[in-house]
Amino acid sequence: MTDFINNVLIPGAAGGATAGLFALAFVVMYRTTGVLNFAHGQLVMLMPLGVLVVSDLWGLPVVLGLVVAVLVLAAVVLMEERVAIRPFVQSGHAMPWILSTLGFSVVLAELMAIPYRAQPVRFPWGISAKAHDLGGIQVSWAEIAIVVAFILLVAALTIFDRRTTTGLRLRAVAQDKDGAAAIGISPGAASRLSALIAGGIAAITGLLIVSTQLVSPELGLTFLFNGFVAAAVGGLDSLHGVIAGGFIVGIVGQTAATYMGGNYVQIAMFSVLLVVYLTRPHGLFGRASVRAV
Amino acid sequence: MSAALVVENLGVRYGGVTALRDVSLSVDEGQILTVLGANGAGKTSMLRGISGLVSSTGTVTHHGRTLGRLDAAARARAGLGHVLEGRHVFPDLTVRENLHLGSLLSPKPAEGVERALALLPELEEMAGRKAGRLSGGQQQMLAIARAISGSPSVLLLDEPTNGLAPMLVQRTIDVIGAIQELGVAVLLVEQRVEVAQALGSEVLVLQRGEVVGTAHGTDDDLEDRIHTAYLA
Ligand SMILES: Nc1ncnc2c1ncn2[C@@H]1O[C@H](COP(=O)(O)OP(=O)(O)OP(=O)(O)O)[C@@H](O)[C@H]1O
Ligand SMILES: [Mg+2]
Repeated sequence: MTDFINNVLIPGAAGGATAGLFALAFVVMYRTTGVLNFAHGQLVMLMPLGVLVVSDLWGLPVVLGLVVAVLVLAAVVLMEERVAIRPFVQSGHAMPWILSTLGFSVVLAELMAIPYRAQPVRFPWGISAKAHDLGGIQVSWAEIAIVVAFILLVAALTIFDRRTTTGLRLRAVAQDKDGAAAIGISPGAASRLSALIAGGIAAITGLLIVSTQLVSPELGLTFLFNGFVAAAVGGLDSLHGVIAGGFIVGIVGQTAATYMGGNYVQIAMFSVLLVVYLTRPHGLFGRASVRAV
Repeated sequence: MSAALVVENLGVRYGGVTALRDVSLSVDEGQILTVLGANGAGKTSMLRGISGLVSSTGTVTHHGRTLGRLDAAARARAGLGHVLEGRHVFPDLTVRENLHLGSLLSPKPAEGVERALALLPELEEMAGRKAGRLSGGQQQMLAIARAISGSPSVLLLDEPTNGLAPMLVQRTIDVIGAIQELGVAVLLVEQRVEVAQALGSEVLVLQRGEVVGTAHGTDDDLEDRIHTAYLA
């Protein structure tokens, strides 16, 4: 049992929270715009990279690094929304936004490679990934932090969604764009706000995953893919669905890694995606069909 | 009386298809103008052009102000209400939440909701239900109430009686009459001649994207003239 907890449950939960954080950002953006942001991996890395540049390269205080990185991230996210996302909202075709967000991610990655000449760098201020022994159970602060942050973030956004007028407006846009425009809710404002929220999720995700990841302008496709699978499982337009989606992806992936070997993780993920496509194209909690993507 | 809505030479095209050409009309405060036309005549395109949901040529003037390049949300905020074809209520939000969102266009939202519920009190008992769970007729009433809760000065109504049972058609006609009495300028689009007759409104006949005639809801030969236009 302890073996199962140590080898599957704990790393699975941490991996699931990571996938869930990516999924959360996808859902936030997708439900108001119909666009999946393929540049999200770069946005995630922008925060730790910004802190490194200011504090490691320029030798300024870390707090200042955080402030600068947040401002840069917000500016980049708004720029992406304007040039690569909004023009394609409701175009009814996936190809244009796939290319525009992918293109944006390539440009961003090239710019982000400049400070460290594309070399991956360790982030020295991350939460410790050292395992502690709690009565036979091995767990690190980094694992606890990412799981707790993920659950709190979903809870906070769900409350925002249901209890605030702004949240209600975003849900209205997600459910009916013409109906929302007809009562004065601007689709542009909704997509800008969604982009900023997704940027905030990226910032938190970035600072958490650098406990176990080197900072680099290329955050592998697996993060995006696992995040997408988690979003598809939960429902592409369901915020709370990402809890189920994230942890299913994490546990299934870790089970495959532990009992079959690392090579089987992505095969397992792809199988999960196929099962969702075939049995519940709207995901567990969603309305939007993944087949539309 | 001053004109609340003036439309001049409105045109709407979808790629190469011209859906509407050179339509001009004007609606005064507290007046109903009904545009009658068959399937595909361009009624929806006309309303969507006016409210900014599709791009159009020509000019739309609202209480003397040219709306120009304002998008749909900005036109709604300026006081142009639009009850869309197909209702477009927010299915996962409750009736109350749908009305609340609509009322935010109102200078005093609480009063906006009150006015809407005074007009359609039957919605009160469904306040906590999700809009997606309502019947088609109830959704239509909600769509009208949501628009009214925003206190529009002009209301565009796209075939509000479509698909409704005869009793609800009469109810809708009464509600439109009551909206007129609030002083709202109503531009109604319909296929059913009897709605224009019951309201006794001015009538424009739209055919293949163009206005082909004017009439009045009280004209004896209205039905014949419309049917000739529909069959043409
Ligand atoms: N989005 C669109 N793209 C291309 N053509 C369209 C589009 N919407 C409408 N049309 C075409 O424009 C013309 C007018 O359509 P519109 O929907 O305005 O008519 P309508 O009078 O509202 O019809 P109905 O009574 O069926 O609602 C039709 O020929 C229709 O096929
Ligand atoms: Mg129509």
